[in-house]
Amino acid sequence: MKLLPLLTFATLSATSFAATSQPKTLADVPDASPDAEQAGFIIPEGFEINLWASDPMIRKPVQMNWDAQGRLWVVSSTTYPQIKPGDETVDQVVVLEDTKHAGKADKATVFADGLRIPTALMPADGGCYVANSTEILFLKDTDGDGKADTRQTVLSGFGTEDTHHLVHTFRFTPEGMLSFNQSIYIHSHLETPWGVKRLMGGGVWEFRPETRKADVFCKGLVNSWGREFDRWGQSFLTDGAGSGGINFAFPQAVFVSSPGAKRLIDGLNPGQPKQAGLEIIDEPHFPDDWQGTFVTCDFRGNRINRFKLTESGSGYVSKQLEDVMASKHGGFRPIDVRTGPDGALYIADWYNPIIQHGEVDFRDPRRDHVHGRIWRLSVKGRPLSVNPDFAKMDVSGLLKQLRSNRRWDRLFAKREMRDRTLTKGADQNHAQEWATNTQEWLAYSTAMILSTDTGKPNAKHITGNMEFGLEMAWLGETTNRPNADLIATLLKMPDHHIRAAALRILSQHLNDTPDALKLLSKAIADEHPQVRLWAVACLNLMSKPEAFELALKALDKDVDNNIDFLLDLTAREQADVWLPVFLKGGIKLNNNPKHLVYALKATGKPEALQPLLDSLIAGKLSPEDTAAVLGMIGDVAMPKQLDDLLKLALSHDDKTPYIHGMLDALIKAGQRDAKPETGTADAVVKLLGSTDQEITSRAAVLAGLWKQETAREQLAKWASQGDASPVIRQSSIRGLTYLGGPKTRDLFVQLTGADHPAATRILAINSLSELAPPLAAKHAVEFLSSAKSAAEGKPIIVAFIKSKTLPDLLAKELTGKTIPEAVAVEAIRIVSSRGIKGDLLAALEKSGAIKQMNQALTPEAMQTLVTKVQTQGDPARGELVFRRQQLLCFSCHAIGDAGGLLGPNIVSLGSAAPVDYIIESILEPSKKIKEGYNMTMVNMKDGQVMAGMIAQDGADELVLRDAANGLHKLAKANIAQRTTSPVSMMPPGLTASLREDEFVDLVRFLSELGKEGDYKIKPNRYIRSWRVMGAMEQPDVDHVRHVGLFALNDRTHPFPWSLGYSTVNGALPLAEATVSAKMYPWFPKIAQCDLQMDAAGLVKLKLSTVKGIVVCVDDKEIKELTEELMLNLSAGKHVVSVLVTRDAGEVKDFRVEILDGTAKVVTGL
Amino acid sequence: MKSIARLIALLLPCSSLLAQTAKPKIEFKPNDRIVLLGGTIIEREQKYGALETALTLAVGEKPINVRNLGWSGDTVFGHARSYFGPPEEGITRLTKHLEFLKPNVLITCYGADLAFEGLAKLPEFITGYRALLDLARTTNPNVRIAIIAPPPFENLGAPLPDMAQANANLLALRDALKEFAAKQNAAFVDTFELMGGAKKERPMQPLTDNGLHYGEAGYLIWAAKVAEGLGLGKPAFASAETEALRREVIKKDALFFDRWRPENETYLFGFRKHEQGRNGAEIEQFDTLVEAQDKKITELKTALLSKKKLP
Repeated sequence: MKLLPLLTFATLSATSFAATSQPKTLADVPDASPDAEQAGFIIPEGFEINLWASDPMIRKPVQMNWDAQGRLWVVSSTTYPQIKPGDETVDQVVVLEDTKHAGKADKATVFADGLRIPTALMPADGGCYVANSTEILFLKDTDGDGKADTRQTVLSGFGTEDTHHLVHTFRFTPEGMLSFNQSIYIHSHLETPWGVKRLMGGGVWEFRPETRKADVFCKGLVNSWGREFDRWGQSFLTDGAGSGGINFAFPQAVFVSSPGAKRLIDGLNPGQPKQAGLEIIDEPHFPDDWQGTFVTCDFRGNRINRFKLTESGSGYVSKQLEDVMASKHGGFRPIDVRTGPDGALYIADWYNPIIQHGEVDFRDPRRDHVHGRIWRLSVKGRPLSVNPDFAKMDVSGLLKQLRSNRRWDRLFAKREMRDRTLTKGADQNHAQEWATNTQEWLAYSTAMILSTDTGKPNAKHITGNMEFGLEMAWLGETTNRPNADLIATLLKMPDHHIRAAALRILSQHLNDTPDALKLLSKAIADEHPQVRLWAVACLNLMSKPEAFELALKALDKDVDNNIDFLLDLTAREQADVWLPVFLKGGIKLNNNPKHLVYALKATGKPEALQPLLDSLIAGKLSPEDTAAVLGMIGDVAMPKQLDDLLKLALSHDDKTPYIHGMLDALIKAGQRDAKPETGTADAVVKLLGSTDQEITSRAAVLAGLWKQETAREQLAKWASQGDASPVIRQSSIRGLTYLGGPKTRDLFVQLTGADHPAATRILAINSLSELAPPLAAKHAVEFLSSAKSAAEGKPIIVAFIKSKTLPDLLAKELTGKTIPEAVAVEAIRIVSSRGIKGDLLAALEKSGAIKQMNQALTPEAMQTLVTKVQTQGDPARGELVFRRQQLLCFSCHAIGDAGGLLGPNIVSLGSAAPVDYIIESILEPSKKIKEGYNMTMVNMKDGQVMAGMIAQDGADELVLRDAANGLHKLAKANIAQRTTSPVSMMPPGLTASLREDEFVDLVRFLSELGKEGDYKIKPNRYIRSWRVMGAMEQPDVDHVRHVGLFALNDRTHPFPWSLGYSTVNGALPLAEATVSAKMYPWFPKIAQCDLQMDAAGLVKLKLSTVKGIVVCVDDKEIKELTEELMLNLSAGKHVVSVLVTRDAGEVKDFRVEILDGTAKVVTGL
Repeated sequence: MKSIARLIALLLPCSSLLAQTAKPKIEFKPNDRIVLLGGTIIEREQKYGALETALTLAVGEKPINVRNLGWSGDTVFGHARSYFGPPEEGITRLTKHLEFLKPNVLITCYGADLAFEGLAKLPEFITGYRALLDLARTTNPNVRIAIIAPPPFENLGAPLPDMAQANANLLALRDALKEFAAKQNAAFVDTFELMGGAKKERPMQPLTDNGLHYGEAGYLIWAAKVAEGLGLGKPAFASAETEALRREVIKKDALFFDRWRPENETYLFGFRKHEQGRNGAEIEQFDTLVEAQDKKITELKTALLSKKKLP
């Protein structure tokens, strides 16, 4: 085997390498001229793009917003990412204008400069709000020269821990508030006249300037540079570093990365590339089928995506459409997108070959600080829109604009009214005219919409008028003249969108609406889940016992994930508000057992347990609730309560349902040193005598936990006997471990002997490592020396990295011993991916005779390699290398929505990262670690050490994802210390077995990912995760042939499935499948996927070919297969089996695509 | 801005340096390092430089240097200063900053948040304050301390909230702070009273735009009142005269902000230091710039004072 020669160069010190790892040459920086950039654009048929503004008029645009006069306000920073000592603050607000209406900006005014990495702006209230690092400023031009001359701090206290996370994304809410976001690393503390408001990590704020009230709307997301509202005030977020695509945001929603989150809401497009900016098309210049669709910028992939959302329950499903546009130019970085005064789409192009500054040096010479563009995308042959002169309109003219089919018109009519009422001082005539209009609308809606009389106007007329009513209410809010009658009437409208929107408005007036609870009692029973979700949101915001009690009524109707999330969160986070009142009898939780169980179990509090335990004993709980309550007993029950549970368990015979669950709860309690006060000795005797081994095995563990010496003899017998079942043997060893003492130790030493089966020896060594570590290490090495395979050695290694001291003990014992190479390699992989320090790695290398490998490259070697990748690399061959099982790439990294979750999704790696960065990341994974993928080391109070990626960081619980993708829930109370490891979870040396040409191909493949071309994930919803059938044995074939094809769905039969992911172009992983040569008459390759439906519905699949293909959906084989396949699926999980038979011949790139429907791919093993 | 300067000049009639009759509550010594510590009111002070300008002139020819460690939303517990760790990490960060600065004089203004949190938390607050001062003393056992009672909130009227209850809380807080300062042997500056105490009606000339936080005019007055409350007398200069000095103070504060609270701390010194930590070396370059600016401030002040003495 020829090793990559480059890897044998001498190691350089980390610092000198880091300083030179970026090529100093600027040769690979693209041509920055607008012409060169425009030449790279790929624009769909029927559209055209033109350069609207460019440097030097505008440099490095970060965010933009229009004003009513059609001027584009752009905030720009050349200072980003970090000010240099001695430099002045020079960043600007620039106002761009197309005075000649020629489709090109001809005037640029610097409205303000001297700003400090400003990241957002919004022209409003006669001036401009600007996010300026730690603060939000209001800048105003008081003398009319076009330049700001007053500067007021509106809010301060925003964190600056990372300058691409600074407060950003200014938008107006439909109610005229200022909305802004902050990202994952930011911690903010705002002193307002309504108290101090704090937000740790990412989230969305809503702020009303005239009251100075700022509230957190929702939390989380990694870098949420996009928010927009749909026609009915529902809002959506995009994430420039997460991968959920479009996110549906509702009050109190918690998304990925929020510190302390117990539960998260997922994005609507899992596995999407990162996106910045968000626009919802509401503009007649665009074709009808574009209306209401979502446009957002994949700045890493140099393209702009589009999505279509469909309502589903209280939320949405999102489907990606064809790209709005793309570019082959690596400097094109679309980051904000807005509909302009003429209806065209304006794109802020930050222009930079290098994005962000976490991984690429702050001062990298390739970083661009001078360019920046605004592009204008318009539709050929459709008329442009005309910007009305709002300032010259009277009130009725402005109100008429509220009926426009352009969001532009509706928005700026409201802003104009706001300016007239608040900024320029109220005009009584205006107020009167508006009030009259409101009264007229109320009268109309009562007579025409809500009346049950016949002779109603047509549906379209009603819809238009309902929407007008909503706009009127928003106008009231925008001018800070809320109208309670309007809200109450809107709540009665037949369209659920309007009712939900009314609740959004109500959510801002809960304290000053006396009949809020009455309104909400109706809304919580609404027929539409979206309205019920908003009702729960309002009740959450009220934070009162009686509001919570009312919210529980959501349980009387269908509860989908969003509603359940919010209700559960309310129960848990407001437990201090309602639980004491409930326990004193102040509220009854609607006297509804279902409500009671839901609320109490959500709290996880010991004081909430007693009523649940009472219900359990009285036999009043449903099976699902019983399981949840038993779980809670295990977590929090007191000894007295455990007494009751033990009595309950013993009062039944072996056949009692939940008896296993009850014993499990007792075990869980025992592990936290809580046990029943009485009756344990008799209980152990009785349970050990059971004929059900599910019971005796649990009894064996309990005997140990409860220190029942009398059981020792029995447990020792089971542990040593060859004929005891594995589960009994394992439980007995666990029980004996808990019993401890010299007797246990001596027995375990005996069990490690070579005369015992390997499984017993492994269990004994593992247990011994807790009782007598040095002794265990000695026997572990004996075992490893004679281990037959890497798999056999693995559990021993895992056992010895579970605490701080064990690895060194094992290292010491390994000195001078020899272990098989395969065992050592596996051990090194495990140990290095858990960040274990000390001598163990070296000891394993030595005893396994593994050669040390140098991974660092000299700058010259790196440059040579980069050139080779660019000139000789073959991405197609590279993809095959990537897919090799033994490289493990896919087990941790996903490309799009297929692959492991442990490492970053690499869907757009190539378009985001330079080649040298990719090479370095493979060879030296710890050099630079992507945000959110750091390994965390946790020291538990009992001495255990865990390492992994934080999957969730809840208030009481930390969930770690380990190197094997397993999830570990750790109670925070048991954590002694946690540290972020500077070591990557990706082991170095994964590619050590590759020849140089293979390595070069691999890097070429990675560097093509996301770039325009074959390695960019298409928006098509190809099914990308499959179970692939390996070599079938005769019994497997017989099972299918005797039972029928649907026997493939039998998950109890041990078919040789493995998980496989599609290629980047969406093709099934058939290369990895084995032909089932004995499976007459098909002789197929078999792949299978699982589809999840939240609600019943139609799903349309498309197969790239049908020749020789057999498809089986659940237990039905599809007769007369066609390329487009319509399935009527019920709610729940469905299995689709695909057989590519011998008749199909050589099938290249066979793909299955979800054309329509809300099915989610959830294939697992 | 000229109009504001004129207004301040009217509000604060000049008095000569010799007009200081009261004995200063804190003795200022040459080359004293004065650290300002608190929440938003201290943090935003650096945008206007008024307090430092007032202090540097009021102590006479002794050169002093002032460092602002204010942090929006901070409390005596330092929680707002934490990043990725638990809230207590904030105090660890503050400790580092205090150790770096080793203040001779510490001027603190905390408690505005308590007006909203309610008085139930007052005992906890005082305990926290005591721990904070103890912490400062570990960095310099002889540190001289002044405790400022937060100024009253302005009642600007609807749609802003009524501040009556919040002001009542501030009044109670003021009393508690006075007692606390005495026990701590610290100087007490009652800017609650000096700034006019609680008022129900909207002021003729509001100094805040949200009821809480001063703009330039407000800070100029408040700074003068703090100096007065420290027993340093009324200002000897009209604000127009000190404008040039104040500009330099603001510049120095901005440079120092970049020194102690640089952006991108996550990469420079935090848990992603292994990636971009090499850029952290740049941050120390601010020390030289800050010191040069200190020098400029002292020169300007000396010139101002000698001009005043001439007649």
